[in-house]
Amino acid sequence: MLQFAAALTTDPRNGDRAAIDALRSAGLADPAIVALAQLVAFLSYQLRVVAGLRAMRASGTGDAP
Amino acid sequence: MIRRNGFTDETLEWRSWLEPLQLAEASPLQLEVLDESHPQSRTSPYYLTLAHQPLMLRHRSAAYNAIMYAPGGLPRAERELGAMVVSVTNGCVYCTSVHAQRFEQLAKRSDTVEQVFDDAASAGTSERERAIATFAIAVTQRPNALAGDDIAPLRAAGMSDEEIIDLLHAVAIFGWANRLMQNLGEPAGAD
Repeated sequence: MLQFAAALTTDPRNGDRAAIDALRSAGLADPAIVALAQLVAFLSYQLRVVAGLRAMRASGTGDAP
Repeated sequence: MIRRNGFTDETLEWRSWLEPLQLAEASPLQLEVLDESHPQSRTSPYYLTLAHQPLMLRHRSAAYNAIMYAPGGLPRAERELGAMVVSVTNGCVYCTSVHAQRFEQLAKRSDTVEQVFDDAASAGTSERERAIATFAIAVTQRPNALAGDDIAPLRAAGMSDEEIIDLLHAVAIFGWANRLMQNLGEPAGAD
């Protein structure tokens, strides 16, 4: 699970079927794999929004939050 | 039709590496969430895969549909440009094909699509499009190093703070979407 989460976070390109098979071999059913992928992928969205809002505030002009 | 560097604006299919939900086995909640997610979700392997976690799909679709389709704010073609540039940067061929098509439908032209497929970092037919593409790549590749200097070109190109926030959400959510598309399955040629 940790390998899958790390790879999903840092290397969005190179997912493969073997990574899914490894999760299944570790006992995860498909709904659990979907939950893990959603959780990790959502964080990629969330941290980018936070970083972008921080950059807007740092840019000074305008009235960023 | 545009085909360059492994990307295309043709319609592609997507094949799941998991077992997509069988509609006959779907719960009332799963059917409800599928129907609020996308008009064709009952026949989409992608949505049927995500429907294994209906409450997560509900939150994902509420965010996605608001960010990409809500009226007002950043013009929708520019949201699609951001989505397309991120998808190219992340190497998501399937996502790129979908959002290249949407850009073309909304903008009524494909010149920017050719430029993005050739070299996203220099793409854009105007200062504003170039600023959007550059920002989309920065958010994708180095979120932790984003700074005020990354915002300035957007403001210089005439974007309001509200438009920049809309763009940020559109670009950021493709960090999410590309990861699901590329790690739960793969693109396949159209039948």
